[in-house]
Amino acid sequence: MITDVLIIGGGGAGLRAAIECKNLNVIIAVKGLLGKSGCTIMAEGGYNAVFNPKDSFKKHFYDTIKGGGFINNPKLVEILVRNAPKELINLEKYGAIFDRKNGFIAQRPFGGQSFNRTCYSGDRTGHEIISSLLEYLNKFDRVKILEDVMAIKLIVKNGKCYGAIFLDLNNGNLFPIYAKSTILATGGAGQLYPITSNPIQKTGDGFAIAYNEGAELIDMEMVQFHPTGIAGKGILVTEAVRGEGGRLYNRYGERFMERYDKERMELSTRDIVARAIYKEIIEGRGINGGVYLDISHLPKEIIEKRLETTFKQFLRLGIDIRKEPMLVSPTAHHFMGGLKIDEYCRTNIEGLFACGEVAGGIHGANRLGGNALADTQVFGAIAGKSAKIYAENNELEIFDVKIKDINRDGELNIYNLLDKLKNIMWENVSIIRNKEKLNYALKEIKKIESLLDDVKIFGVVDLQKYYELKNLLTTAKLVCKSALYREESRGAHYREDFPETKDEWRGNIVIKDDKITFKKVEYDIEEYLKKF
Amino acid sequence: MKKIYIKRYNNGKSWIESYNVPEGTILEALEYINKNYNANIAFRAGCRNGQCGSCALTVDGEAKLACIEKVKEGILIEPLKGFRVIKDLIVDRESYNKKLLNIRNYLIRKHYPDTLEKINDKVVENVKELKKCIECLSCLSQCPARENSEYPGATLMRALARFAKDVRDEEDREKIAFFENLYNCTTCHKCVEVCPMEIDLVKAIEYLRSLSTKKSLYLNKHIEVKNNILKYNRSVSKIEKSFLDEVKEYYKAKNEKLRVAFFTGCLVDYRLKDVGYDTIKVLNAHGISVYIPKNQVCCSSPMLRTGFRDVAEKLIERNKEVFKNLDVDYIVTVCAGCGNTLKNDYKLKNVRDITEVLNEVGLINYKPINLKVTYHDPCHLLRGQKIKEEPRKILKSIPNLEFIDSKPKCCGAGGGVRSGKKELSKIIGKKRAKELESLGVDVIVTVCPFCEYHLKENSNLEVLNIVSLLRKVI
Repeated sequence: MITDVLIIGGGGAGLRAAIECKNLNVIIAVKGLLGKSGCTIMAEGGYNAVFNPKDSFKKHFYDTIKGGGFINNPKLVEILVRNAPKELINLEKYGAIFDRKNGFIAQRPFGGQSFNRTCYSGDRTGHEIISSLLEYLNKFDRVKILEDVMAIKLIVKNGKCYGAIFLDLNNGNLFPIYAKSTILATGGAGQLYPITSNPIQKTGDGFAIAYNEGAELIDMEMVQFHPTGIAGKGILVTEAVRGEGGRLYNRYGERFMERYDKERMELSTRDIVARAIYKEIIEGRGINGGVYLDISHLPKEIIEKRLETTFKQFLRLGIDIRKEPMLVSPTAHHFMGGLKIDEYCRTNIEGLFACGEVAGGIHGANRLGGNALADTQVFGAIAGKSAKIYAENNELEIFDVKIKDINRDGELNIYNLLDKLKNIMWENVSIIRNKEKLNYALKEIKKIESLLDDVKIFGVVDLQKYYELKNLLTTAKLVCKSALYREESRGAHYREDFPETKDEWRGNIVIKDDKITFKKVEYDIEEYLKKF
Repeated sequence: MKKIYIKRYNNGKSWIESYNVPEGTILEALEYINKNYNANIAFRAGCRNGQCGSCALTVDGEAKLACIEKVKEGILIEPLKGFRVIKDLIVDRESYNKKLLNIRNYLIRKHYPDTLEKINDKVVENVKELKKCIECLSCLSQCPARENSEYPGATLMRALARFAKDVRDEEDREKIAFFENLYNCTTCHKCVEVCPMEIDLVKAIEYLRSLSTKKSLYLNKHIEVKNNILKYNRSVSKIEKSFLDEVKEYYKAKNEKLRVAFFTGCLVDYRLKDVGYDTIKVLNAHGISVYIPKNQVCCSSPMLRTGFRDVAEKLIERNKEVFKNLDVDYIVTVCAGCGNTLKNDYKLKNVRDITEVLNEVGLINYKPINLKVTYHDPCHLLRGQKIKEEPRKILKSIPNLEFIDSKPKCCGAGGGVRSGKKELSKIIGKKRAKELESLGVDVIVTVCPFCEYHLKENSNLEVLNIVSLLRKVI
């Protein structure tokens, strides 16, 4: 297959990018069903955008940078906050409809924000965004959809990307799609952990296949654990629960956030709340591996309407959150790190663009709730525009690409290796880290990697799992190596052997071809704020 | 561990395999099987939490989400019905995607504002309710109209209704709906039953119909029905003395335990008078006195279902007046459609189906009867009123009667399809009749004159209202 623009990933960022390229030949290649296999459709809480005259870009910018431990790329943050309102208006043009209060857009408070800035559609905000993007894309017949395919390798020659090789998940065939420009919108790698809020498709494919071809990845140690997943399951309990007034209690009925962030309490940033919950549980003040999240003091109608998804998801588990508390614990949620991009969503590989969670640098060391949906739209649009211009000015090149044969007749069960990797990551590279654990994890990861040639592959599903395991292993190594390198604690990255945040570490870890470089962040916040 | 069965498909061949799996969701079971049995079963899934709609499949004949539905002993898992199977549990959704293009499933307006619009909160609420759909396509997989005609299925009508309710949309959505066979829906509510998001899809369809009739987009046959109502206050024409013309106002029971008002409905009044007399006898025999208000009119269901809201409202007003302040415990119906309308559209609290009221007052000792019967669930009784066990209890309590149960399925008579889309109605009716005939019974019992009429026309078997059967055994 050949096309002008190839978009890998069909979540919020990929779909938004496609709209920008509508007048070219576009293929959106998705690992599952279009719109259904990314995180966007599951996103509940909201979309941060400055609309209120009392709010400002400056405040949104500062909140984001502060939440991100001051290592965000300020240019990207500025783009995010300035474009978020515009892209929300675009979404409504595409058919979305956000909740209104007396006719004007409704906004709720979210963690780490100095203003009620989070726009929403009940607790199905991401679903509203995806369904509207899908509706709008219906209009453009040059945008082709390819579902049930997994990208296993980027086609790169002399630092230039010409598309990707795919695995057809229905018949096991490998095939190339050659493209003038390629957009990676594959999301993160929540599936690196056994407890995650992410859908099953999120196996770090984009990180890995780009890294394999020499892409630069930034801040890969920054993995956000959402404070509130359903205990033991990981399925997300939206931050909107706390935004609407939900309270956290330990087994003694103590509102323990008082001890961790007296001022912001439950609406502190995600890194702080997640660590607080984790500590409560580890130190024996939890309940069956979780803590209580209680919303039962709120009026029934608020719970039923604004938190309908959460209400129903717990009802299915036999818990009526109008009357009783939920049991929650942290869950692997978002990769702040990812492909290093510039203001045009360009990566260091020519013709390869990245947007959404697969791109890094926007959220620094910790992402604010409500900034991810805005990110998908703002950077989806930019990546789309850039890829379009690139495709219009560059020629297609088609050449044979060799894919290494896989030994399918080994002895090992691939699923067991996957489980093993996930458990190693959970136990050693999750909320609280140290040098010893990270070194141990790295050693174990390499061990699993050495076993890859000895797996037994019976069919296509196994084959898919094989490639996913490979990508997860690559991602795991990047996370471990970056986490080992950063000898401080900042945002989501907490080293118990280096618990302080240190000024000399205010910077970004960039990893490329197994080489790490550290780049100090140069900008002065006060100076930068004067721009607004 | 539970034993489950999975239908597999590859390259034109299909077969069934069985596996032992631990308790949990079906999705977890499928993952378990692939991990532990090297099975490589192809299936789709995403969010694991009922939010993405990727994992819809068929469990024991019913559409379910694999990530929500729990494993039970002996279940059979198949791909989602009504779609071409690609491999194992993966189906081709292309037919749905194409339909989305046909109905122009996107917001259409001339000018798009550059700033945020002021939108009434209520509009947002209404539109949102219809945008909850996760496109799992469960509703399409089990729609009798889609199965048997060029009807796109409920969620596409929902999409059109969503745009029709969106003040920003300028396209003529009811017109698109009309030409996409809006009137093929039998309002059987199967779609509502299987919808994991609990969207009232039939309400959306009836809303579109109410818009389309205003633009003179309707079926001529429905105008005949409307004219009957305007002339007789009944959905059918008067050909002889009616039931209400003939009966007394009051039939007192010996040892009265309960007093009810009998809501006859159009067909009992004008066509199936025997059912009316049987009802009186049966109620009296159970110690229930029967009051029959003579001024009652059509319940309005035929008008509500086909989009003539204005006509319906007059009927509703009249009936509410007639049945107000009666010295009775309940209003009783022997027609699923009437009962459904009185309960759900009138929102009356004191309405009972005949089978409910008999069970409540206590079944009597029936005379034996040597008969093999099955029961056909009227959609508006089963899904409209959630009545499933009551009629079965009655049938099972009749001595010597052999009861063979049947899986509920629409007969094709409802929603104005029988009057307006004869051909489609017949196809669905014939299929349903065949299923029931295959049970080897003598009689089909039901509690809906529309089902009764329709199944009689399409089957060789005798079809009886449950009261007419009971009349023989009291």
